[in-house]
Amino acid sequence: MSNAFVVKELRFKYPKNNDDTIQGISFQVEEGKIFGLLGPSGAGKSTTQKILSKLLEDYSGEISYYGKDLKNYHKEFYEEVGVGFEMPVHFNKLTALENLKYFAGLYKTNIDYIELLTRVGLYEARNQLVGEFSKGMKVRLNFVRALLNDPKMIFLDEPTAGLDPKNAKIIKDMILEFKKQGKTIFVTTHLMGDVEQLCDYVVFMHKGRITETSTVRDLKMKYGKKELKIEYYNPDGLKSETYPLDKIGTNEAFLNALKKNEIETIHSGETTLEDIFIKVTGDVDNE
Amino acid sequence: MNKMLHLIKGEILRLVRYKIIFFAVLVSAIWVIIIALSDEATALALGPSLILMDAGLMSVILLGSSFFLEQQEGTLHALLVTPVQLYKVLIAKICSAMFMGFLSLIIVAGSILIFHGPMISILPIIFYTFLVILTHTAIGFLLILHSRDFMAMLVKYMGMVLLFMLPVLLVAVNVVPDEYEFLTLLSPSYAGQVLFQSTVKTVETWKVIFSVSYLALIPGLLYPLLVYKQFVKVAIEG
Repeated sequence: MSNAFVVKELRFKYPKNNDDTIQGISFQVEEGKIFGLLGPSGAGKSTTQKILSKLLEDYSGEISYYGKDLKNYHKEFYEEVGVGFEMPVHFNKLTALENLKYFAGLYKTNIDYIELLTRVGLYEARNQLVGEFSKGMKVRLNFVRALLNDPKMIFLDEPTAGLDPKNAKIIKDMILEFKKQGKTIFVTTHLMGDVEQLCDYVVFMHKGRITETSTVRDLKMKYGKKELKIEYYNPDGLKSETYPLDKIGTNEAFLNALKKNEIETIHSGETTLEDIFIKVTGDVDNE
Repeated sequence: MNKMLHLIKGEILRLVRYKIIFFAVLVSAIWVIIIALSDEATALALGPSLILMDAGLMSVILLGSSFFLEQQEGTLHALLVTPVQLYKVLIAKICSAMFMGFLSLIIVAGSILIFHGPMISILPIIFYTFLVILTHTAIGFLLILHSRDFMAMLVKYMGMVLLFMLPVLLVAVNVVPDEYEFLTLLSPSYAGQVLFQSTVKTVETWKVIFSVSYLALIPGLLYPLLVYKQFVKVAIEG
């Protein structure tokens, strides 16, 4: 697999700021994978995404997109890139279908957006004014709008924010399908559940710097406790014991506990992504 | 070219849905009543001012209301991540203002023709309307793009109207001495008024030539040097 993006020593400063918002970050986005960019408010996630999607240009460092300097791409870049903003952007006085027709008409190639509307449960509301939509409906329409040109590179900012679990699952399933089709997806989100279910690779950002880069599994291994906790009832009541995972198969105390007691629960010492988020950013997400 | 037409159609559809065209036609309808109730001389005297009012001054208000509604929706920002160049979006917006201006011209000039006979030179008035809209929208865009909301734009707009219409009023009440009348042509609205007047009565040739050149120069400079750069800046900032 090649890299969709290779970012080296990226720095960016907003004209009105004294300090760099992005302070020399480097990472790669592998083609056909789902890449998660995580971090607390003000970490520089949105700025990074804006730079990669060519909304901000006065950066220093190197960014290549499929081996070519990003600065050498012009408007044709958006023929193969889809961008879903965090805040849904639609013409409120147009219907859902009119909105999609308008934006679809700006691309050379179009996906079957009627099928997508049906998938996200908006087909019945296609002739309804978007201004009358609920927040969840606007989020789903926003998702469809980002896919109108059948992009091979998709940027999604909080794609399931404001959705109920059922609709969030539909969106996540579709994202996983796009990955199977070989598309590359760059996700910015605060929902750690989404990260666990979707992302192959995650980068944590804090104050313009990258604080951790890894796969979700490796992060859990790194920050989790390598131990096993069991709970069982004995005549004295509910008891719990913890054993090291190392050589657990030959740990006599653990094996005896399994044989002699009615086990209620078994938990590994795996940590949650929320805990990892707080550890690596040194901050509680307050966005 | 297809994308350009697509953008223009989208702009006009939104003007219909935002009811902006409805209000533009409503204002023109008021002019029709005034023209219908006027005698021939009054209709001819009023006609150029009414066309200037709609094509020049109203188009800025209507363009501003459409622009700020879209800014609230964030749709201009969304166009940045499409293959469409922003200058095409700007041209489509100018074309939508042209659409409204010419709609108004058809209604006002048409009513003069219907109620008072064929007294307007058609081809020149089409060209002059084009120039007046182009000039006023260029200035209007500067007001719009340097205002944080519609109300702020309206305040600036009132200042602009006062500045532009003052020479028209001063000439109307004969306050401006003849030797200084040429200075009043520096008001784009007055220059437009002179051009529209030339379609219904005889106007000195130098005034027409100056007005045409002046009204062509303003958008020729403003659009590429100031408006487009600010338009891109506002689109990026959302």
